[in-house]
Amino acid sequence: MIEIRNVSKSYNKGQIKAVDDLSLQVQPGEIFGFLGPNGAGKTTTIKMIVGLLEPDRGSIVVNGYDIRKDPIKVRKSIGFVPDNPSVYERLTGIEYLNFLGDMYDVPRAVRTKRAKELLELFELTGDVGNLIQSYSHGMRQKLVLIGALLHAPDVFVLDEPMVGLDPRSAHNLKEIMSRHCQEGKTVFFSTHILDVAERLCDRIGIIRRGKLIACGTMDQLRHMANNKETLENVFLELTEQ
Amino acid sequence: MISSPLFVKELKEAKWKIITGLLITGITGASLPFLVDYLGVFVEQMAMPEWARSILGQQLGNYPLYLWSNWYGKNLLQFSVAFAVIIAGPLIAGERARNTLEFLASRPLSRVQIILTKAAAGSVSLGVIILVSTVITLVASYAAARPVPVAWFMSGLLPQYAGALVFFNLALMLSVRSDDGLKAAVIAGGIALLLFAAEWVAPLRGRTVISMMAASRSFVTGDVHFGHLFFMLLLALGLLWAALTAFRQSDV
Repeated sequence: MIEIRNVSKSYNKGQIKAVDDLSLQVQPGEIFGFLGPNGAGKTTTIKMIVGLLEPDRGSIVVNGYDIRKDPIKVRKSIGFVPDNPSVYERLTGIEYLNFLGDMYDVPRAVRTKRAKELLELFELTGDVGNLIQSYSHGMRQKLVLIGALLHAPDVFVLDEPMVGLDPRSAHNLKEIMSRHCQEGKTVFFSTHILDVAERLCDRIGIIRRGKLIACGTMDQLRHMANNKETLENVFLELTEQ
Repeated sequence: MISSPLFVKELKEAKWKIITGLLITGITGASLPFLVDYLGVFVEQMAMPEWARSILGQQLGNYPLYLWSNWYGKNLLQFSVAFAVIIAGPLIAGERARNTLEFLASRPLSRVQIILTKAAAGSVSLGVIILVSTVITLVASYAAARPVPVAWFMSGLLPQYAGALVFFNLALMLSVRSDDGLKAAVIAGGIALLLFAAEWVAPLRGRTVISMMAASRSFVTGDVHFGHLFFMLLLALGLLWAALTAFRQSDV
């Protein structure tokens, strides 16, 4: 579960308001899509959820833990995929996964089984012994995804996860996200691919200039946007106002 | 306080620096006992001012003085300062430049753990280079049939390491404030160079970290100068504390 209450964050000593009094809740078993134009505050919000940035105001509670009071417990319950798959290039794929497994205290046997399944799913088994510096952008993205799932997190937070993925891997990721939420876990992701958000999400939040301008199911958003049919039209209508 | 997965990752990433450091310092140390005779001939034949010939002659005529002044006063001193800043400079700045600092900071680690673990892994790498190369130098001395007392020779090791930690933590502190590991290392190296130069200024001679590292009193007595050791360790801890404070206050 993610609970964001009246959160604000600004840069440049308050001159740039990236997130402005944002409040929303994502329940267990829910896939929540976070949409917005470039620079709307999506990545800043995600960075605050995972504890990379500290909110100026407000509170964020993940899985019952306050990010200010229990940042380690929050991070332990999150699987985070950043918008840029920067990983340690001088490690091999398997060294990277073992590094994460050790960090999240995943037992060897469990880690091996999970890594094997995920590596096969993302067709990375043959490359996992190679140095990460030889990986393409898409392969790195897949490795980061596998690493984020290795400890079976209760909350899965993804920032633009589809970028760089081939169609099969993108499909597999969507399957994983659906399975994750069927297991009663939470998925929070940002995307610019509106088709994916429309088909996958239980609820969608739209942020513009740091403010949440709409939040709800697809039907609720359509209603807010004068009954526009597709999410693309809903998005254009709501972000134009 | 120390994260063992991160510690192991740091050592894996630093392995080529450790190997390079060991090769350079090890070969230099191993060659010292074998070069003393050649240097004697060189000093005799080479045209040079009489005062320089006198100083070099004194060193070459006294093997323990030659070994100590060249190893602890010159070769290891320069290498340990250089490797200290080379290892520490990119520790945080390098992660920032490669965009991996966000990755690290979003894991279940506190900022304190990140800095302390990185400092520990770097200090161990530096310690391995200094210790192993000094042992190689000692063994080479015996192999060249020029034995020196082991306890006496090893008494120079601790001040050397403590001083190297001062420059290591200085580079680490600069690394926290930078997004360029090379820049952090160059600035720390520049400060070290100024201290080397200060040894040429009479009122400062013998009062800098550089001269404390050379441990000339240990050469005479075979004992560690605990006052100097304590001062350097305190300075190193202060710089580590400054790095930690800066890292805790910064956004990733």
